[in-house]
Amino acid sequence: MTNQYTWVSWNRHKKAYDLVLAGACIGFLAIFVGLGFLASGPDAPDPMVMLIRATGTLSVVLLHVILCIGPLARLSPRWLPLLYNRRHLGVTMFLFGLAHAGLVILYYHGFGITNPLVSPLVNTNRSGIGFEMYGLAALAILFVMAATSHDFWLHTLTPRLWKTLHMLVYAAYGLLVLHVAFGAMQSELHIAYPTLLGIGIAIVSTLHLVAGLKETGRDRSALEANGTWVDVGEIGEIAEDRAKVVCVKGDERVAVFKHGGKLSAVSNVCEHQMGPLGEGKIVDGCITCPWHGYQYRPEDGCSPPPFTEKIATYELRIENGRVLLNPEAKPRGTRIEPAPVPSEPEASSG
Amino acid sequence: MADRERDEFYVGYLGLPAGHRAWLRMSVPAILWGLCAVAAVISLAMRPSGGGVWDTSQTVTIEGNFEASPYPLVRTPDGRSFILVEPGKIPLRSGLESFVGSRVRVEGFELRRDDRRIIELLPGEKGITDVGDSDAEPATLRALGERTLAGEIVDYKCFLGAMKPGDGLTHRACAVLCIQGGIPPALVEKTPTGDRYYLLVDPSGSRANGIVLEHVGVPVEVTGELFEAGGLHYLAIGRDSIR
Amino acid sequence: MSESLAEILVLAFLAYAGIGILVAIPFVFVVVNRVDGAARGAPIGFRVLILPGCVGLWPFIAFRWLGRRQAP
Repeated sequence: MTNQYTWVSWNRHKKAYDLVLAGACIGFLAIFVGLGFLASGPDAPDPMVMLIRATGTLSVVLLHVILCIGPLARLSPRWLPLLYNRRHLGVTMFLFGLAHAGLVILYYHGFGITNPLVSPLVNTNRSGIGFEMYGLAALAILFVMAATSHDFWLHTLTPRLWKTLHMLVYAAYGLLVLHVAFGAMQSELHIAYPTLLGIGIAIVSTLHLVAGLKETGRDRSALEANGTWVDVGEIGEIAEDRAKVVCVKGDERVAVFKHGGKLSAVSNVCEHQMGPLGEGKIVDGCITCPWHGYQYRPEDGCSPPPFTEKIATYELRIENGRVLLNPEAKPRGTRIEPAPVPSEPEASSG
Repeated sequence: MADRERDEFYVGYLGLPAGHRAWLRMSVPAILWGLCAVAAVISLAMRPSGGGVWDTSQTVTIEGNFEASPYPLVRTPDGRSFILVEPGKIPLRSGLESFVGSRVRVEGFELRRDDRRIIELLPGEKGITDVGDSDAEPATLRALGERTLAGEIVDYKCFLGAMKPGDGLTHRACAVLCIQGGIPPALVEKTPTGDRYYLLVDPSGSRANGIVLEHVGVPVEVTGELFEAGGLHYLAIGRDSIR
Repeated sequence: MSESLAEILVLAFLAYAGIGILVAIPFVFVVVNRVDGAARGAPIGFRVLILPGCVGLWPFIAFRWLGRRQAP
């Protein structure tokens, strides 16, 4: 949570994550280049060409890993530690893509009679759109994403615009698939290439489909009770320090938390990156988002000082052992007295 | 589920719960091994980049008769022809017409593939010097009739060893840049007995660099008049000769 | 693409980047402190990290500099 920006909020987890990431990248490049030279002998590519291929391949492989993390985290909270520091993965992936493009411009488009920045636009498009152009477009998108990966941009662009921008990763993915299919796979004819690419696309698509189906299944609408109130369910359905999430008015999700013998209802959407607060837990008296740990007090939806984030709150009533919710959201930060859970068994009613 | 009983909850700035730790201990190494396998498969499946050699460890010195057309070369007494190129992808130096009718000494780096040799001239005067009058007539072009040949158009320098691979779609942009810069374009025909090279010229017998730019780096079929001179084969083509 | 069109595009890109640098550097080291309270006292690593984005999105940054607020 930020009340003052730093460049990276390091903690032990991020350091471990980054160490593994660095090792994985170095290992990938070493295996790719080393095996390539060993296997080809005198027919090996130039070292520069080998490096161009290694950086490009690593970049595309990293993007596949990145795209899998999102849906995996929706399917099981076990994957959340990989989600937490995903932006470092993203920036790394962009940097290797940039290195790939830089080497291509230097080696394939340098030393000639044309400016190395002009040549890629002219000499790749002599007979229709060159495959290099798809790579260039993808790189532009990935640059914007990498350059706006800091929380400063989250606030400056507003979370909604930032999220929309970062959804362009899917456009970048499509462009990179075209870049590989119309480029490297036209020169390299081994069946392994389309096979691996096909497997990658299948895994990413399947994970997204399964996670998407699970999400739409979660939009179980709350039942109408009487007048303005909707029925959330039985008190006993909600575990201590956890929440039940219901959908009101079509697509608005509300999280009802139980803490210290009382119930509070807040918006399910974290102010930070719109994480699912209802899948979080109350830690130190605060609702804690499962994605990056942003916190909000259950009674007023405000982040504890010195933080300033606020979410909307909702009124609750308890009747006959059931929790009733007023679906009209109160303004962000409105204090609502938590509803006490009756200590008698639910069977007795007035 | 066990983790529900423990109600483990992960937050990045707190410690890692035991259940998450156990899962990561299994899944992360599996992912890493997967990445290693992908790197290995892609790397091992790469096609050979060909036998071209660019010997930059030493310069060679050749003496022979200079011929300017269609592509400047030096013909040695044993009948071999060495096409000349400059460093990089730039046009040959100006003033070479003055060497027509002379014997020359050229010094530079040799590029070779199969039985083909070309010389990348050293910059400056050392690259090519006049050593007297030519002692033979320029080789006459022998017409061998019309041919239709299938292969790929490459630039004669990269394919012979300046870049590996010097062919294919991923190299195309570089080949176009080289050919634009004056390096001779050639059609490479793959046959069971090896590669055959046909330097491309236009119908009047001079450079074809401008004609071929749209057809480089992809499989093509070329129809034209076949000629042979001094051990080199030339194919004379027009704009519409390439499919 | 014709060579002259490509040259124009490259020049336009370089001009955009050049203006971006001219806007971003003062913004990142001075102006951002005024515009975003959380930037006050932030270390230099933060400023270096947001610099590429400020160069690339300089029209947006210029907008903020001129004091127009974004709706929250």
